[in-house]
Amino acid sequence: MDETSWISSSQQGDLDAFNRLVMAYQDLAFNLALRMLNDESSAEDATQTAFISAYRHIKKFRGGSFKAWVLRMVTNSCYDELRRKQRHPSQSLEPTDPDGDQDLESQAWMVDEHTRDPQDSLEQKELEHALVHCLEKLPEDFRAVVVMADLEGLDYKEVSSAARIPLGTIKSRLARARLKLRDCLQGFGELLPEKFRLQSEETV
Amino acid sequence: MKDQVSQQYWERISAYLDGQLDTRAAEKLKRDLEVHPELQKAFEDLQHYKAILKQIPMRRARRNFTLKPEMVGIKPMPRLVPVFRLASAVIAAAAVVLFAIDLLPSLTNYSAAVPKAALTSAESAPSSAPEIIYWNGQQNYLSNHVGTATPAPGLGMGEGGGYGGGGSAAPVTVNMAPTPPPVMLPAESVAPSAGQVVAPPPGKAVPPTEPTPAPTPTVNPALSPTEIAMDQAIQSGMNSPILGIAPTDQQGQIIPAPGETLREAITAPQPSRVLTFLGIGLFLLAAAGGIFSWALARKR
Repeated sequence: MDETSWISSSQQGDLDAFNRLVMAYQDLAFNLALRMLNDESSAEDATQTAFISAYRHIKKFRGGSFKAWVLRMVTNSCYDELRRKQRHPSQSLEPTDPDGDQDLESQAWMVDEHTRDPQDSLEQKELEHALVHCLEKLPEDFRAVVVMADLEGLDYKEVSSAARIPLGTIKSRLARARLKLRDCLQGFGELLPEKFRLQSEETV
Repeated sequence: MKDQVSQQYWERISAYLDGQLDTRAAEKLKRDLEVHPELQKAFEDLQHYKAILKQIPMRRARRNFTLKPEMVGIKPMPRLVPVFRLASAVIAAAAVVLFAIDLLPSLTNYSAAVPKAALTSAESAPSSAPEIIYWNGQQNYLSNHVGTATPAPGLGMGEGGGYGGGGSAAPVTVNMAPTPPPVMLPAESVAPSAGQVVAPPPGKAVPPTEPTPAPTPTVNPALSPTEIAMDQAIQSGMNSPILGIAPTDQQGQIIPAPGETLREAITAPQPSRVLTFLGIGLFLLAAAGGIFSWALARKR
């Protein structure tokens, strides 16, 4: 069975078929939520909520990119989570420092340990830390666009569909978000590994 | 840099890197990049920025986000549903078995009984036919007389199947004692005696080609009442019960023996009404159970 069959079965109420779609897109959805919320637990909650919402509304799916449709659910779920956090700010009991007590069962941790050079892993964590910091400074709408386009690899049409924003707006938002990110990353200066430093900051 | 490159150019460079500029705009931007070094610098910065972002690994989810029925408000199927489904299936199967038990034997017995009865009647017919005694080898007289003047009413004996019914005073002597082969008697040696039906000599017989009026029973005063009755029965028709031959309208039918009903004769037991009603009841019960379980499952 292909994606179209799964979608059509899901529209008939077949939960197993929908779960196949979940398996296909859950990493993408979780990454978007994680970059949007910068918190794994919140990202998991938002991802789960998004998939539940997607199942309940899948009959309204009228074709096109299912990936973009699912990511729109995730984006909406992330916006809801961000608003909830703004209304009820709370401090997580779990360590937020990525270098701290990471879950031993974390697949990301295991991947880092077994497949990457320790030096590369450390440099990438520094870069990720800087990027997370810069993403947090971006407005939510800009953040969603830049994550989908530059981190998730969606094209402009998919981003436009997922964010429900006109294509022209996507172009301008993406350009401005990239400019802000570039400036932010330049601000990290020598804190970034040398290979990740932007040329302009090296020349400064 | 921000001050040196306008927002419009920055958007063009961004779109150009993503391949979203049309050919004309892309050609124009290429020429501008060659002419303006600050644009070229911005282009290289953005290229580097994209390369950096590609270095950031995708984080895999720590768990599956597959949905369970209770997550999306799908109520689990009531426990009664499978019970009702199973019960309905069992009851339906029982009803089918009941019908089979009820109907199959009667069908098989009926189909077997009809040929048997036919065979029995066919076998009994020749054995019940009486012997024919020919007077002095005058077979032709009898056969011609009976066959042309008064045809026998279907005795199963072919064209000469009559028994003295035709002709005026048919010269037939019926020996009531069972004698296997036909006996040829000389005309002179035969004298009327008790136990025999006496007929005129064959020489006085009516020619076979002439139509014969209806025979009138003749009574020999020398005979006893029983013999007279036999004589009259023989002369009145060939379907005499004494000869064991069925009347015309009864031929081909299954005649039960005295004291035996027709049902017993063909040995075809009819379906029991109790079993039939029980089977119908079980079917209705199975249907009700099936509908109920379907409604329960659909309600969830």
